[in-house]
Amino acid sequence: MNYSRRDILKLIGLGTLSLGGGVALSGCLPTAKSGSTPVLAEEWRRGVCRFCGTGCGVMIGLRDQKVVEVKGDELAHNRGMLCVKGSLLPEILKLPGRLQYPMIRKNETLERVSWDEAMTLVAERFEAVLRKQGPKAVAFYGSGQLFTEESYTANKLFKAGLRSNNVDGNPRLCMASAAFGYVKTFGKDEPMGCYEDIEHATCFFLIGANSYECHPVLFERILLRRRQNRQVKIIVVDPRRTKTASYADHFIQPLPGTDLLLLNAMAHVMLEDGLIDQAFIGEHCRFQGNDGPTNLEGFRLFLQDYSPEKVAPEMGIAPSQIREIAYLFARSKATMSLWTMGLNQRTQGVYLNTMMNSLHLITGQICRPGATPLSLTGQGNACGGVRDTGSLAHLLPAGRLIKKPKHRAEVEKLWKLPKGTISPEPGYHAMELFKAMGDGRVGCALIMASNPMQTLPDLTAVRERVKKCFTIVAEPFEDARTLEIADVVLPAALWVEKEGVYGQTERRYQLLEKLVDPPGEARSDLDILIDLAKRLKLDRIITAHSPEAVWKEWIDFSAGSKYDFSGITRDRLKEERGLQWPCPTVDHPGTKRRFVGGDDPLVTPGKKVEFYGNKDKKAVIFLRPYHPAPERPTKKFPLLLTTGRVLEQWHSGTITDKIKELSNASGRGKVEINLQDAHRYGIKMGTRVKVVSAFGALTLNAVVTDTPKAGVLFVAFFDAKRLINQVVAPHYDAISKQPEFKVTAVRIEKV
Amino acid sequence: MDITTAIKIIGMVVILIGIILCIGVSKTSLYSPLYKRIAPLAFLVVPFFVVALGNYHVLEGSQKVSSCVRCHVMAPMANDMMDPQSTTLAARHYKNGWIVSKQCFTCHKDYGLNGTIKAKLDGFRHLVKYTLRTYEEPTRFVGRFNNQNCLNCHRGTPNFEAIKSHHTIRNRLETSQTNCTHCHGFPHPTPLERTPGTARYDELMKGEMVHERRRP
Repeated sequence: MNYSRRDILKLIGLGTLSLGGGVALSGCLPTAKSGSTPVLAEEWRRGVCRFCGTGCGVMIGLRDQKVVEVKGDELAHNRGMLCVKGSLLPEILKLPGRLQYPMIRKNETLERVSWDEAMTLVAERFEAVLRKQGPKAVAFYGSGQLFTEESYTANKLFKAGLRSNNVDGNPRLCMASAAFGYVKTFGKDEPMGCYEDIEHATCFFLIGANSYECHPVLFERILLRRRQNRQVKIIVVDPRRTKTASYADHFIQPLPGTDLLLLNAMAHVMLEDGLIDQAFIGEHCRFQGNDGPTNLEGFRLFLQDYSPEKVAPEMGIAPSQIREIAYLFARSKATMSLWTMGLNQRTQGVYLNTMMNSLHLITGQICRPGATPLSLTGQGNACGGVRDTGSLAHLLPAGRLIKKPKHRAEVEKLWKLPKGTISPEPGYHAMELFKAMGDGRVGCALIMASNPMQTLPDLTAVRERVKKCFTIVAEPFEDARTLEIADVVLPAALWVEKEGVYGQTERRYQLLEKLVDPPGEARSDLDILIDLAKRLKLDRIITAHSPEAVWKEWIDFSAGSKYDFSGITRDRLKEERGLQWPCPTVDHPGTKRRFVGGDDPLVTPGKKVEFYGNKDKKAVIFLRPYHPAPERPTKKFPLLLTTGRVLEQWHSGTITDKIKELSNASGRGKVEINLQDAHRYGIKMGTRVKVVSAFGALTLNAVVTDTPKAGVLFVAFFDAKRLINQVVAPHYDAISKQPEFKVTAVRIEKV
Repeated sequence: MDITTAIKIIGMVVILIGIILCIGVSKTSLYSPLYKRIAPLAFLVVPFFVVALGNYHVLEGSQKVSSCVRCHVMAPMANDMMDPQSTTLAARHYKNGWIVSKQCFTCHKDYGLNGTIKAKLDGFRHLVKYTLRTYEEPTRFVGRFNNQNCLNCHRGTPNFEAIKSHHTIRNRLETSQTNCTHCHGFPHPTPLERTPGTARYDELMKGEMVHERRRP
């Protein structure tokens, strides 16, 4: 073969070109571990996470009118952080099994109907029951997941329109005791502290809170604070050695149901060792016993029975531990307490909450940066939506009570109602409501954004009972267990498919705008309520027909009250990253710390601290005797069951359990059993066991671990197919009516 | 006299010698043996070393923290990183000695083959913006942070592997769709802290390090 010099040059040229081109192209191809996918979002909008009460600000990325990405909002209070659930928010709008159209139960099955047909039936049934049984026979069961506008409208529709005070909701199961605790101590509900206190605290007292799993963003913030200053101490009190506890400097592991002993013993040590702030107590507090007013001496006498040495054995801990943490609590520069269901879901929930507040009052660990009792909330809008709007059976909006004639008259005036419209009798609280739905006292009930057929205690009995009541359920997902008792199912919009305001733990209101359309014929809960009002000819009462109009009505309503947030206008919410009330004027920056002069506009000028919620402007320190929980270990039921949550699941799992990244991580519902108990009963990892209480039984796989204290079993309640609430006892707090999910006597059997 | 000044003086001397040599060469014939010997040096060896050294200097030098903080918009990042009180990810990696040198580069090195070109283009764009002052403070990170920068070290460690959700969202982590920084702290001071006019901004600009670098 002959090649000319020219041919060789051509060949070399071509070779170089193809080699070079190949290398360049292969570099462009995405490989499995290429690291970074391009940004999908074309537009970023602000919003709030759908899940817990932390209320993280999120940036929502949109493309072709779809939510494609989410990231933390750096300018919001969470400073750009999210947890694994929040990171997967874009998935929740793509989930299968969304309800697309209304359904009516005909011959035991749910059949598709038009909105008109469904709503006509709903209105007819409400009217029929009202005619036959009167206003006490209709009810609304709401949720801390509804928007503020929705809860406000439902509350007004039922209490003012239908004259029924049967308005309650799942917050009753969640933070009723905390709300009562704040009201009893400070005269008004809602915490006085804020998340920013975490950056100032030098001692964290976490009791009955597994923040690592349930409020991860806040727990990370606590850890950051300790990383900044190693002198900062974290005290964790929990019957389980939770992930939270693994980060504790001091971990106290009492038996479930005994921690009022701990709080009282801490107070005992504080008084005995002179760790109290006499000046603060003298100026800002008064004492209240169960038999009437008392004083510091009375408190001291009352606490004599609670010396650490006396109470420690019953709790299963050492007296020295109590002394140690009492000292740290009182003597740290700034102590911040955080608690959730461990104190709230208890028959002594209100006692525990008031005692928690009292510890802060007697040591003066309050109303300073970092020193505050902060009750964490489980649902995104339980504080703003339900507690503030008064959407519970005993409440009226903005911290008013149904049983007080003055408060009823005020609300009637504000709502422009004839005098005497609002019934003077509080409605049925959640536990009573589901009894009343069974025995015919309530004939028609509307349930919104809640899943009581998974979350109520003593579930087997409740499920049987409520079938008699005509029940309407508004819900986004078709597999929610509550649909099983529904006579009418209304498809509801979810998260950014509707617009509204969320109010989280630290009194911060944040706006969530509508960004996408709901699937099929689904509607926002507000639209459903307004439609119902029209059909019941109550549109003279429900006059605000858009989220914006309801918000305007609600902020005007709050003006002049101790909740005053008339300065939080819709326009400001659109501009700012949420605002904390009180915020009485449009130029007020919001209140970080309530009851603190210079910060809270409602404090008399010149005063440093003023607990203006009570008439005498003093906070109340209560003497709270310990009573053992009704469920005690017995021969027949020797173990104690406590329920709770896991990191990857939220609430009843209706949303999170469908996201495979989350459900694979959490696994299925299982029972955690201590190594010693497992040995005693011959249980191994994965053994099928039956957890039996006096109320029900459930078969689960066992996980043998050192997490729960010996004698304690733990089961998370997220799994819709393994309803642990069938086993949980229905006892509830006499004051807050919140059930005790945390203490049930059980036995364990191998199957 | 420090080493830089010494190198500068030596450089000047070398240039001077070169000039003298050139004058000498121009006076001799172009075909003289001396020219023939110097020509390859002048046309091949010296340019090659100049380009190689220059590139090496730029590539290596640009990996240093000191090169990143030359623009004052980066000063808050570096100062925060070196603040022992700070708890940002950068500061924690720095103070605990998790990354001992080239701290900026180590966490931002997702360059690769095409990445290098992109990074250089980005760098050029930043330079133009910086010089023409057509940027606004606080600056913001647009785009998506590459998780590989984190995973390179953390992947496979017991603490990382013990978290179940790290496994279930592995794909999202590997492709950076879910960012590590979602759950794990703030990498740097937030834009709010870096907004000029705020007290925190002044604090962040006052760091020791920048002063040292800027001292003549």
